[in-house]
Amino acid sequence: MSASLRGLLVLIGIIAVVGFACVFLPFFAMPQSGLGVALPVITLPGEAIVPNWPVFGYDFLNTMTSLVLVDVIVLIIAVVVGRAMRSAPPDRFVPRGLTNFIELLGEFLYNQAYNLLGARWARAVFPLAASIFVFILISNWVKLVPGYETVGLTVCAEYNVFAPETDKLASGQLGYPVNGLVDGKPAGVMSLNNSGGDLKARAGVKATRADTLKCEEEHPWAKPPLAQAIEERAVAAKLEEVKKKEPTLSGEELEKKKHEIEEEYHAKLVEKAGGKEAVEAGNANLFTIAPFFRGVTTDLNFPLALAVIVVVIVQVWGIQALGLAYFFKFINLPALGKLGKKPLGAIDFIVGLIEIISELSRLLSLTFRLFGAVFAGGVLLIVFSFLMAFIVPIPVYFLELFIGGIQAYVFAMLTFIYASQAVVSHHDDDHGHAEGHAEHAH
Amino acid sequence: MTDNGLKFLAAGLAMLGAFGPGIGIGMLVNGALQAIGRNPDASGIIQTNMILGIVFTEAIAIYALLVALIALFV
Repeated sequence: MSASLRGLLVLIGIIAVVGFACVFLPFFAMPQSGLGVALPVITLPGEAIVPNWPVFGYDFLNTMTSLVLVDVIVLIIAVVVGRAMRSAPPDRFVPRGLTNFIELLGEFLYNQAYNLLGARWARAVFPLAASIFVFILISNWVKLVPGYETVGLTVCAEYNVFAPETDKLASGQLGYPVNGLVDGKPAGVMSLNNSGGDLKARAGVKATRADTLKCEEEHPWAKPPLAQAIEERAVAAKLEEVKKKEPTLSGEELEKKKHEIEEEYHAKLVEKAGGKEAVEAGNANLFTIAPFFRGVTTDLNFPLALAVIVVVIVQVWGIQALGLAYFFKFINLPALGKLGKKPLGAIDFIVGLIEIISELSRLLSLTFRLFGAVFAGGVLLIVFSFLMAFIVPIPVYFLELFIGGIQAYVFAMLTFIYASQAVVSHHDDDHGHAEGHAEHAH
Repeated sequence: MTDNGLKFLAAGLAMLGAFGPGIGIGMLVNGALQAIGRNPDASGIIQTNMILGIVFTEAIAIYALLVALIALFV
């Protein structure tokens, strides 16, 4: 068998696998079983997977499932690497594979910390910054696994619940007829064709309130978890009110009352959608996907939480290093005290006040840099995937790998920089501290 | 012009904020390449600092992009 013949077989194999994975699975096999792969719908907040999650009473978002997954991966790496390191005495230990990679990262980061902070503070700052680095790195890279942000529950395209009441059409979610049915006829792959036909049957139609209600009526399994959560909360609140007013109601009567409240709620929704006729005329086959996983850093809350941790702990380190004199960085009392001798000290005082704002703006810049880069990366991948499905997105994936790593590195690096600014006192000769002079001597 | 059209227009206008960072990144790389040309031995440190500078500059473009994305999708 010649090499070219073998090449032909491999090519046929690749085409068969691609055909199976890109045509049969997403458009025929999965829609039949209630799972869907479709054009992704870009939403800023994470999509709810489990409404009114019993543990905290909040919705369980797909960014949280992904958070748990990344946690597990980080823990596994920690255990594996820790075991490998303890397998031999330190002087004869030769890191290999994963352990080697982690050592490389750790060494690289520690050198940066050492250069910026010196031995003592590098020991204090490095663990936090390195944990943040590893966590962001893994969450950014695991997000690029195919299917991570695309496979999920098929749900009715939802009217944007946060949109203003007067806005009848503009803020609906894009819906795609992925369930194999467009207005009662099988659609399959052709439903993604944008040419001709009924306007409502086209791909990427924005759902109105009426469409959402009709869809929920005809396909109860596809009710969006977020809508369900909002309804459950509203009904529960009303029921509490009723209980308070009439505490003597029996269980059966309560059930009845609950049913009444639910119907009232539904009637209100129908009224908002423009009455019964409007709902009847709605399109029941507009679906979107609520993915099971979504990159942790694409949820604004996560980078914000990290930024709060970093900014707060940097203050703690500053106080540890300089004592209460740390606050002179913001409210420059010494400069104010010497105003008689040095009137220009007033400028120092005002600069100190501006320093407070710059401290707070770190929260914003840390949060939005990470969130924006990763979220925009996801949007970029979507855009390229639908410009040209094969080959073309590959370089973009490499770009995303690079950006994911860089963003993790920048977050860690900024932690070092902020810490180094906090633990070193001002180099003013007027109020020199011991540390300040020591720094001068270096 | 419909509300939807205005949204797209707003997103496009917000991306004007990418002008400055574009120029900035160009200047950054220009400086870094000149430095590497003069002292190729120091290319490692220069590259690291260049990428760091690029990331800070790029962040401003990302803010503009975020405004555009929020205008489009929220």
